[in-house]
Amino acid sequence: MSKLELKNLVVSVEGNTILKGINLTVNGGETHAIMGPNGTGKSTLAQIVMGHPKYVIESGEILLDGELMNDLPVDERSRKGIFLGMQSPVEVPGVTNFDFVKSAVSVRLPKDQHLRIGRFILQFEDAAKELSMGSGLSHRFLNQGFSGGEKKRNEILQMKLLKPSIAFLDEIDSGLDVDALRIVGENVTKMKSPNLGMVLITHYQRLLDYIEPDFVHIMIRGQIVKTGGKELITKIDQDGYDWLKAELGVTDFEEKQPQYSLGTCATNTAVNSVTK
Amino acid sequence: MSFPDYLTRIPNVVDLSQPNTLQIVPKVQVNDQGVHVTIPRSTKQPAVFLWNQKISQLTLHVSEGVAAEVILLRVLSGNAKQSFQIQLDSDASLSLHEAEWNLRASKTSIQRRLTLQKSARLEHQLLSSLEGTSESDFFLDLQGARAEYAGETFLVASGESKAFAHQRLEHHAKSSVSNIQNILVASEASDLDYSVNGFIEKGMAGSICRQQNRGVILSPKGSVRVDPKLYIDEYDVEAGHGAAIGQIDEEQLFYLLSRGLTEDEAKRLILSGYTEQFLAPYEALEIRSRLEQRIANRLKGA
Repeated sequence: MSKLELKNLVVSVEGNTILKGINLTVNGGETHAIMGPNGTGKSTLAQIVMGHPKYVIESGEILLDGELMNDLPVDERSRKGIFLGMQSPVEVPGVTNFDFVKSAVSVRLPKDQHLRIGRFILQFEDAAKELSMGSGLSHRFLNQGFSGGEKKRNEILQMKLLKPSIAFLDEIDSGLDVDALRIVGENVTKMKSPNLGMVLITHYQRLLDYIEPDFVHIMIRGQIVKTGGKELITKIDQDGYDWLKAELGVTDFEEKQPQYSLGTCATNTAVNSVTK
Repeated sequence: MSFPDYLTRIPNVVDLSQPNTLQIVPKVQVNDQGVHVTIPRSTKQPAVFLWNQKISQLTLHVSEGVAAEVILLRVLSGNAKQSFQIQLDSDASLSLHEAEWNLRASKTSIQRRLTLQKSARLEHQLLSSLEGTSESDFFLDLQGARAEYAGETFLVASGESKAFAHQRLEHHAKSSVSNIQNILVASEASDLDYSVNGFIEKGMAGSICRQQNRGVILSPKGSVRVDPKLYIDEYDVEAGHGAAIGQIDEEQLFYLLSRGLTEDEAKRLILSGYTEQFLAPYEALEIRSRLEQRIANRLKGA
């Protein structure tokens, strides 16, 4: 059973601190939901756990089964069991979906083992069928020309075949119609097991109607400010997040960035201070 | 120099330097200057030609109203200075897939002269992996109204190879179209230098001239320079050009890495996406895997 621990995680991008001391433990078998207004760092959290090079860990630790992940390359994190279902999966023209997933599954095998292609084709087709994806999926180029819903289902297809131990699903419900949401929800729920810890990042209750979380966290201004159970989802769905302002003693969830203006006087001051 | 067996085994292949295989071609002239092939009637199967440095000039002429497909494999074993003329008569159409490589590093140059008459259409793909120093001088002459040219180049270089190319596309007729796309990949210390120039002269209303250039640099010592230019002397036209040069797209790379692929494997896969469309025509000839391996070796710097 895997365990992901985030300890006092502080993360910045281009000098701006986005995550300000995140503490979170996800055990195998648990499903966590992270909710919160736009721009509070939810996606950053998922990306930094995966190791996106754009983000910088200023302090704190990411531990998977006690092993420090902070400096581990993205691909190694993946092979150790971390998965990120992306909000906007990129298109890779010319690379077929099948070749891509096959390569991803192959690199996970021990060096003395080879992928049994026949069996893998059946697994791929079964997974595609369970997600109600078209039969031509394997020959289509990776995410190219996919609808929003197809892209999200394709993320779940990869998750099914890669069998991660810790999975972040970043707004996997966006762009899905009612039927697609149900299909994704059912497939993800079927994957629940003691060997998989999940973190769902979402804005809406509707995803959580299908995938029941054990813990709900609310993230505001780069911090988890409240943790509870399913009752929090209902509260957010009914009242939004405004009720938290009073609890937190803030008037606005979005932080005001300091404004700088460099006018003539400032320029003169700067020049004078340099020349003095 | 004789061609490797896997090339001479291609069914109905024409070795331009061998008179006996040239007999397959319905209309051909050979002289001191080179080989002049005419395609007088439409064909369903592509004609496959092998071209080495023994033949310095090649002319490919597609007769009026004829639709043809040609696969041209330019395989060199030493220094070469060659010229290639393509002439399309009115209403002719040609799908031309060119692949060029050399068996050892050498100094090569080629002049390509393409002339398209009224309503002629040329789809031209070039897959290039020459080692050493290569120079390419390309001149497209759209002489007839509604003549259309669509050209795609994938060039990969490795080691200390240098490739210089000058592409000139001239619109001398109304409603003529040129679309050109160059994908240039530099691995190791290779150096690629391209200038792409489109000209639409006055009065050639309704013409379209587009250029897209993508340079991918795989190592700190590699370099790609592209200089795209448009010279337009007519208002009623569509024209556009651009060049994007850099490393492999970071988000694509992150996506593939996030699924466990190593950086090398991820880069190879992303670049294979570029080459896929160029390799597809060689599948039926059973030489695709050879070309694929060759490209992969260049990308790895082997």
